[in-house]
Amino acid sequence: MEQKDKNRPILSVSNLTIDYAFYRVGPFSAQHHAAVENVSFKVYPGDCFAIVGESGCGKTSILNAILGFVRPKNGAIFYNEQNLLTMARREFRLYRPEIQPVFQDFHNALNPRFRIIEILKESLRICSRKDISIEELIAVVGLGTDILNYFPHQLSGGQKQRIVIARALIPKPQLLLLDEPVSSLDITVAVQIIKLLKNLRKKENLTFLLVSHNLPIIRLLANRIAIMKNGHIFEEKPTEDLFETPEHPYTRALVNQALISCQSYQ
Amino acid sequence: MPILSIENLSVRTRKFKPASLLEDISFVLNPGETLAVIGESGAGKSTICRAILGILPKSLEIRGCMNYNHSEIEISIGNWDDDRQFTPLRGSEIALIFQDAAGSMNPLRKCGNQIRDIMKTADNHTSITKQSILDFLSQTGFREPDTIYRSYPHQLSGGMAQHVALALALAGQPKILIADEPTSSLDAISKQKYLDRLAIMKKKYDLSLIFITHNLNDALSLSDSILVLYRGRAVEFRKTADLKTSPKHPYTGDLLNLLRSVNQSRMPDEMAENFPVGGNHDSGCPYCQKCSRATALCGKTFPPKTIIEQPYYFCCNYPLEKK
Repeated sequence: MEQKDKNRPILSVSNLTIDYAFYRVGPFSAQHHAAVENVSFKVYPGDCFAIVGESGCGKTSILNAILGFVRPKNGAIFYNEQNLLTMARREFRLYRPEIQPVFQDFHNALNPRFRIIEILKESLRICSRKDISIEELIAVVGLGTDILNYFPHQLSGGQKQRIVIARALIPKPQLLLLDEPVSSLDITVAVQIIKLLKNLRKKENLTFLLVSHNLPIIRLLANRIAIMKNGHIFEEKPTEDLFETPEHPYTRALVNQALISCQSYQ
Repeated sequence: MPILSIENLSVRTRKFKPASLLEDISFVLNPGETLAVIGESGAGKSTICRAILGILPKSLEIRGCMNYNHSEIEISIGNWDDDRQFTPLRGSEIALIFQDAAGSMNPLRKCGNQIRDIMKTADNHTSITKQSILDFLSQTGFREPDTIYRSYPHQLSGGMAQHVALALALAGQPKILIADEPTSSLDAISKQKYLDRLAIMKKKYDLSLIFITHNLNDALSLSDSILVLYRGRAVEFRKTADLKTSPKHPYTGDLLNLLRSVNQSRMPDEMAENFPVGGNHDSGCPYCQKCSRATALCGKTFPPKTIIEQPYYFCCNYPLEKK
């Protein structure tokens, strides 16, 4: 990657506020719950930026706002210096293939009535990619051609996650949004997926925005970590700095706890 | 004498294509001890706890024997379908905490009333005063029992919902508590708070605990014995201290090696990349496709149990030697 690109953020989120309205009695009694408040961060090309926090702290809401699934109340999301929130829908659609999500629930991310070959073929057709064959595509995520004729329910969790990642790579994305990619996998498979993501980042020149609550696993992949609680980002630092000199009391407690649980077996 | 022993538990589907969900699982739970059940998702961890309480769908074929509290309740091959056998067990003898705590509660009733219902059933339908519920909540570690009493499940945070689910389980005064991945959606701090409280409650109420998890760190630090499952098979059942120092099954060995490198925050070296494709693993060891020690024999028949010291065992033809 060129130096000038490195200094320009691929994704820049500033003062993002997302709130959800819920209605008690009728439409005029809406109450608002702020899921994300005044969150700002920058992701540089080739980075793996992780947002860590407990469930319900607003991590997934940020990803949904970047993907255009929810409309934030305030703030701006710049992708390659273009504000995604103010651009027209048609223009947004041009940028959208460059940002691809990998969701937490990979069981439901694949159509149960399609074979794997059909799932991938459909995406290739939609993105009109003729330069890559399905065999090449699944080789990228470390799978063999024997699984192409299986249905999703016949695959293990790790295999399904690999298929979801392969499908996300079809539109040639610049930025992958990974929402708890390994939270429901056991450690053997989780480490394999982390390894795969690490290799892909280098090979395909990808940038990751990762969301998780598992610090030890995140430490293997991310180079910057932001700690989030109750809709706010408290601290943002390079991974090793965060583990060595956590500043905010919550970060300190989180890091200490992660280190203590790691001491059970070393 | 164990408070709960399961022998040769098998669960199979009857309809469509018969497939095995659990095969030949045996373990014992001693009074006051914690048994951790570990394995990847889909290995059959939750199926075991549902089988113990008889809440598996009737369409499944269940075989094996269960002995609770020195033959107080015995369930054998013929009566796994019989609900009457399980009724005295549920809630009052064996309680279950689900992964999705808030989802497992009644969304339309306040937490206090839900606790009252369970206490009433446990105390033979005597009337329960609000004060006794508040006392119970403060005994189970809540600083503001009144707020919890008045809250609906959706008003609780993820961590708090798990604490209330624990209180709900304890309200029935069970002897055995089964916790099905209670901490998987909690962050490190809430998780530790929950595990600390679980340990205190276990001591206070003299509970035996079955702790189901896929987090090996928790399993190793919390348990007295560990049952390792892999694709519906029990590959190793050992005391935690022994398992830590000398795992016998290659799967357990691989898990511990990986855990060590993740804990030391370094990327593990080389790993088997060939995943076995899902299907029927009735014959042969399900780990043989990933195992570095496997031979043709491993693919043909599942290895017999090698008993180390009753009731602990492992199932492998070529076990790992002590380092």
